[in-house]
Amino acid sequence: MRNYIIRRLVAMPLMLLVMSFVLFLLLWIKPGDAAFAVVAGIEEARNLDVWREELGLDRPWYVQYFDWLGNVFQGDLGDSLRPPRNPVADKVQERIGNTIEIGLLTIAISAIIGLPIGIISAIRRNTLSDYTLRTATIVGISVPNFWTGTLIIIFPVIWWGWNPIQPYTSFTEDPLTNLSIVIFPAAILAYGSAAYTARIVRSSMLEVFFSDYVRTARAKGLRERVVVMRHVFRTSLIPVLTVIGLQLGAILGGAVVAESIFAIPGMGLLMLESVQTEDYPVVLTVVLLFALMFMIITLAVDVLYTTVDPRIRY
Amino acid sequence: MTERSPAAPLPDLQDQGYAMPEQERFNPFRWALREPMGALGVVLIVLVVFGSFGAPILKTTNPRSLAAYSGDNLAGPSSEHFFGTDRDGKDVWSSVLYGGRISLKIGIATVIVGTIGGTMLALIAGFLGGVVDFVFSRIADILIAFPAILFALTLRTALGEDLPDLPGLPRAEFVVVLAISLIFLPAAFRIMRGTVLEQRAAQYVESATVVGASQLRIMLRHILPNITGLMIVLTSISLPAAILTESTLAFLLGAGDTPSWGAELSGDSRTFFVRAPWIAIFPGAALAVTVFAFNIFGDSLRDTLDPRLRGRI
Amino acid sequence: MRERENYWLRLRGRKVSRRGFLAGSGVAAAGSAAILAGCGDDDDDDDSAAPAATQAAATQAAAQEAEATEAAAAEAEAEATQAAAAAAEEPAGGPRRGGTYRAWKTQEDQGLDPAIYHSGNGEVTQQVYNHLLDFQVSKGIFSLDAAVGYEQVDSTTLVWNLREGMQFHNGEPVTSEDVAYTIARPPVLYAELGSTHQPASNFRYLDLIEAIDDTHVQENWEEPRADALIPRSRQYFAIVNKKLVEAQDGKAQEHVTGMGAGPYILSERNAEGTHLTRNPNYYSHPNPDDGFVEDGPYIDEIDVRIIPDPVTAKALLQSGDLDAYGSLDSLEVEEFDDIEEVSIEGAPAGGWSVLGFDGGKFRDPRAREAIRKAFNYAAFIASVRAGDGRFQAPLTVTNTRFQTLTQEDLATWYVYDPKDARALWEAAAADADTRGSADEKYDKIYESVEIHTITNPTMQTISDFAALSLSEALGTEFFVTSADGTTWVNAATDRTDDVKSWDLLQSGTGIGGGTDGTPGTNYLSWFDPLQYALNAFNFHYETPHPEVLEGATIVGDMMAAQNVEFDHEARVQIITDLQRWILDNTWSIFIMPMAATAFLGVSSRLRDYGKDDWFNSYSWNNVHRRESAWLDDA
Repeated sequence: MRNYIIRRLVAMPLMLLVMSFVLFLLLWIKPGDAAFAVVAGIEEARNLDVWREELGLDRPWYVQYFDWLGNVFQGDLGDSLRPPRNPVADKVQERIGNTIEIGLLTIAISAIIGLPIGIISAIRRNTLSDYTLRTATIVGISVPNFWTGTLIIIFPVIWWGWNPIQPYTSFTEDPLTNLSIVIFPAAILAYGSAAYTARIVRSSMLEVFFSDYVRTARAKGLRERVVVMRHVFRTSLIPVLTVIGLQLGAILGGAVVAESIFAIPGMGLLMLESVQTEDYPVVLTVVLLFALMFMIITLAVDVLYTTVDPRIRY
Repeated sequence: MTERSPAAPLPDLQDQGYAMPEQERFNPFRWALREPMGALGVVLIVLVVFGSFGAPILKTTNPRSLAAYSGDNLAGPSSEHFFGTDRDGKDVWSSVLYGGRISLKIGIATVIVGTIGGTMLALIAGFLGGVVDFVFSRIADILIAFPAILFALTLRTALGEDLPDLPGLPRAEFVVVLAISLIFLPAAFRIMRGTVLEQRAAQYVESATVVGASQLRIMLRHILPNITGLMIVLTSISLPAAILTESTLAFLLGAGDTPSWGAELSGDSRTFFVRAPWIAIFPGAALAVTVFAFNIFGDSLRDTLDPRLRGRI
Repeated sequence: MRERENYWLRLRGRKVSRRGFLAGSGVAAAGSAAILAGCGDDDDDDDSAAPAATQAAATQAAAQEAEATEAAAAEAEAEATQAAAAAAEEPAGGPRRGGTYRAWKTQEDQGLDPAIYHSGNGEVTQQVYNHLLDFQVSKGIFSLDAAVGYEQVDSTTLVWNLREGMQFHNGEPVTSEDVAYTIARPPVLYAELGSTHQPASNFRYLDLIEAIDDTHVQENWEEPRADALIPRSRQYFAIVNKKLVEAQDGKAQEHVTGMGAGPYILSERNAEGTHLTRNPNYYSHPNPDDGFVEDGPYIDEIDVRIIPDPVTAKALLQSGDLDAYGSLDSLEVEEFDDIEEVSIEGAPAGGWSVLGFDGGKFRDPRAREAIRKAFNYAAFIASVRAGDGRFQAPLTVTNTRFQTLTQEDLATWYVYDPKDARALWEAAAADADTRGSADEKYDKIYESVEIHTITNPTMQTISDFAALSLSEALGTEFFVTSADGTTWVNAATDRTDDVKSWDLLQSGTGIGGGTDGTPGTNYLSWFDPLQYALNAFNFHYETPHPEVLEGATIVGDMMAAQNVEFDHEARVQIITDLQRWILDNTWSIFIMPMAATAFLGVSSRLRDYGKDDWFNSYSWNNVHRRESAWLDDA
C-alpha cells in the first residue's frame, strides 16, 4: 500500500513534466505568437519583433521552454505574457479559490441529487418511477450546460426583473452573498453531473443486487433496508467514488462555461483567455494545476477504495 | 489508474432473467418489449438520421445558398417556415436538418477515432505487452489527466490552421473531431485494455496458442469478436458525449465554419432568445433528443450485450 | 476674460461649410439641433480678411466657437451651464450629484498606458487621465479641458495655454513640462515599439515640443498639418506625469496613482474589473464648455465589471444592474419595449464591413470591379442588415465635416449587375491565362477565392453571404475560412511574401462604429499606401505590379495633399476627389453596406451622456468621458 502510494506520487511530477512539454509544443505550433495577441487589432501589427524581444519570444522554442521550466523548479511560475505582465502566481491565486468553491459545491449538490435518484431507481427498477427518474437524469445530460445557464440568466429577468448575477463578492468578504452567487453556476453544473452519478449508482447497485452475498444476506432474513444500505450501497460505492472523482475533471472544464456565463473570475476563464492569446506561462500553469488536482483526487479515490472494499489491496 | 486486484465476481445473470447474447437468437421484438427505453432510442435515432440525411427532400432550402436568405428575419414558425426563421432570415427547419448532418458526422468521426481507435490501440498494447503496453498506458494516463474541455480548447486553437481538408471532413470539422477524440481515446483505451487482458488470460486463447495460431490471428479472429460488444456499447455512449462536447466548444470558441447544432445554439440564438425563442429551441431540442436517444439506446445495449459493464461505463 | 473668447472673436470669419455639416444628411435625424446650430452663422463669412493661421485654427476648431454664442441652439451646453449654476440647490429634474455609474467589459485590460493601444482600458485612459481638449465629432466642437486656449501661430507652430492649478492624483502640480513631455512621448514610443494605435508616420511632422513658460507649451512642426487638434483630444495624448512615467522607461503600463490628473482615481483593479472614485483634488472648469461641469463630474464613482458573455450583460442591463450596454442589433430593440429600466437610443452608425483585396492577386481593376458588381446589395441589406442598411463611402458618413457623397451618389457605384460582373471577371481570367506559370501565385483567384474572416457570428454571416453572392455571379468558387482574432491578424499582416495566404480579407461587422473626426488617420487609412494598404492589402509603393504602383502613387499623393491643406473647402474637395477615385477603381478594399442606425442601450436613469458621440469617442468599455452626465436617482 505504502509503496503503491509512493510510486504514484513519484510518477506525478514526471507526468506533469511530459504534459507541460506537450502543451508548450501545442502552443508553439499555433500560427502567430503572444506578440500578436498583445497587439491585437490589425493596426497593431507593426514591428512585432520589438514586442517579441520584450516578451522573450524571439528565442528558440526550446530555450523558452527550458527557461520557463528552470524557473518553475525555483518556485517561480513566471509572468503572464499579456501586459501588464502580472506574475502568473498572482493571477492564479486571485482566481483559484472561486473555481475550487464552484467545484466542491457542484460535487456536493450532484451527490445530494444523484445518489438518492440512483438508489431509488435501482430499488424500483423497471417501474414507472425508475423510468421517470432515468428520463429526468438523461435529460439532464442531454441539454448542454451553457444553455441551462443561459435560461437561468434570461428568464428571471423577464419574469421578475431580477438577476441571479450580482457583483462578485468573495467568500471571505461575505460568505452568504458569495454563496448566493456561486449556487447558480454550481447547480447548473451539478444538474448535468448528477445525471451521471445517478446512472452509475443505479447500474452498479443493480450489479450488486444480483450477487451471491446479497442473496445470502437476504436469506439470513435481514430487512431489505439493511440489505440495500449496508450491503448493496456500500459495495456499489466504488464505481460511484470513481465517477465522482473523475467528474471533478469534467466539472473543472464545465467551470469555464459557468464562469463565463455568470461572470465569475475563476481559473476556467483565465485559461480560456490565455489559450486564445497564447499566453503560455499562464496556460501551462493552469492546466498543470488542474492536472495535479486531478491526479491527487484519483489517488485519494484509489486509497479510499481500500476502506470501502477491503478486498482491494495495492 | 485503478485496477481491481481480484476480478469482480461475475453475477449469475441468467438466473435473473438476463439473457447472454450468444445463448439466444436475437429477436428485435422481444428485445423491444424487454427494453422499451432502448426501443424508443432506436426509433428516435432512426428519425434523426433520416431527417439529417434526407434533408434535401424535406422542404428545406440549403442554408449555404443565396436563396436561403428569405428576407423575412426572425419570423415565427409558420406553414412556410416550420421552425421560423433566424436573424438573417434563414429557415430554421433547414438549418436544423443540415446542422444534424454535421453534428452527426462529427459525432461519428469522433467515435471512430476515439473509441474504435482506442480499442485498436488497446488490442495492440494488451497483446504485445511489455514496452508497447507501458508506453501506451502512460500516454493514456497523461491524456486522461488533462482537463478535458481545456485540452480540447488548446488543441482547437493550436491546430486550427495546420490540418488538411479531408474528403468529406473539412479542416474546421477535422480539428474539432481531433480535439474531442483525444479526450475519448485514452478512456476507451483504458477500458478496452482491461478487457483485452482479461480475454487474453481466457482459456480459448490458450488453446489457440497451443494449436499454433499466430498472434495476429488470435488478436483478430478470437479476441476482437469477443470485445466487439463492449466496443459497440462504448460507441453508443461516446457519440452523444462527442456531440455535446462539440456544442460546448462552439459556445466557448465560436463555431468557425461548422454550422452544427452547437453553432446554432451558441451565437444569435442566445442573443435573440427573448425575441425569437424558436431559433434556439428547435436546434436545442434536436440536439437533446439525439443525445437522449443515443444514451437510452446505449444503456439498453449495455444491459443486453454485457451487463458486467454496469458501473464501469 | 477667458483667452478663448479672443479666439472666438478672431474666428468669427472662419469657414464653416453648411454643406460639410449637412452631408450624409441621415445624421441630421439624430443630432440635428446641434448640427444646425453649428452652421448658424456661416453667412457672415469673411475669410479674405482672416490670416492663414487663423484660417487653419478655424478649420480645425470647426463649429465650436460659433456654437458657444448661439445660446438658443446650444441646448446641451446651456443645460450644463444652468445645471452648474444650480448645482448647489439640486432642483428636481436637474442634474444631480453622486451615484455609481456601472459599465462592463469582456476582458481585463492589457495594460494602462494611454499612449499605447491596449484593449480593455478605455475607462482609465478616458477618466483617470485628462486631455488638452475634448472633441465632439457629431457637433464638430472642441471643449477646453486642460487647455484654456491655443494659438496656431503659423502653419508649423501651435501654442497651448494651460489651465492653472491642475494637480496629479498624488498632489503634484501639472506643469508645462509634463504637457510638453506628453505631446512628445507618443511619437518616440511609436518609433520604438512600432505597434500602437497610430502609426509613427502620423506624428512624423512633430519636431520640437517645448515648455516656453509655466503655462505655455509650443509645438514646432516640420510641415503643416491640418489635423493636429483632434488627435490632441485622443487618449494617446492624455496628460501624464513626466517623473513617474520616466521612472518606467517612458511607458505608463503599470499604473501608479499620480500618473494622471483626470476626474477619477483608479481605486481598484483586479480580475473582477476596475473601480474609479472621484478625484477630490480635481481642478475646476470655470465657465465650462459643453460636456464639462464647473466643479467636476456629477457622478461619484465608476464601476466596470468584467462580464465575458454579452448575453449576461444584456440581462444585467434589463434588470437595471448596468448603466450602459453598448451597441444593440436593430432586431434586439423591440425586446426592450416594456422595460422601464432601459432606454434605447438610435444614432447614425459609422461601422465598416469590408472585403480587402490582396493587391498582388487583384491587381487587375476588372477583377475588383467584378467583385463590386457581383455583390447582391439588396439581398444583403434585407437579410444581414435586417432591412436597415446603407452604402458606405470610403470615408464614413458619420464624419460629416468631410463627407460630401450622398447615398444617391454612392448608389451609382454600388450596383448589382451579375452579368456585367461575370463578363469582367472572365475577361480578367482570360488575360491571366495568357500570362503563364510565372504569375501563377497571383492568378490563382480565377480558380477559387478564399475569404478569410474572424470566428465571430456576425463576421462569418457577412463572409458567408459574400461568398454565396460572388460564387453565384462569377461562376468561380468563393469559400470562407475563419480564425481567432490573433491568427487572423497574423494572416492579415504577414508580409513575408508579396502575396497573402488569403485572397479576400473580411474585416468589421458594419454595426456601431465611430470616427475620431480626422479623415486621414481614420477610414482613409484603409487606402493609404503607408497604412493598411501597405500592411494588409498590398496596394503600396513596393509592389511588383506597375498598375498597382500607379494607383498607390495617386492615392498617396492625394492623402498627403489633404493632410497639409488648412482650407476646409479645399480639403473636402481633395478628399471627395480621392473618394471618387477609390470608388471608380474599387481600390484596396470593397466596402459592403453597413447598418444604417446604431442602437445604444443605456439605463433610463443616465442623463446627458452624449449619445451621438458614444461611438465616435471610442467609448471602450461603455465609459464615455462626459462630466456633465448624471444619474437621475443619485
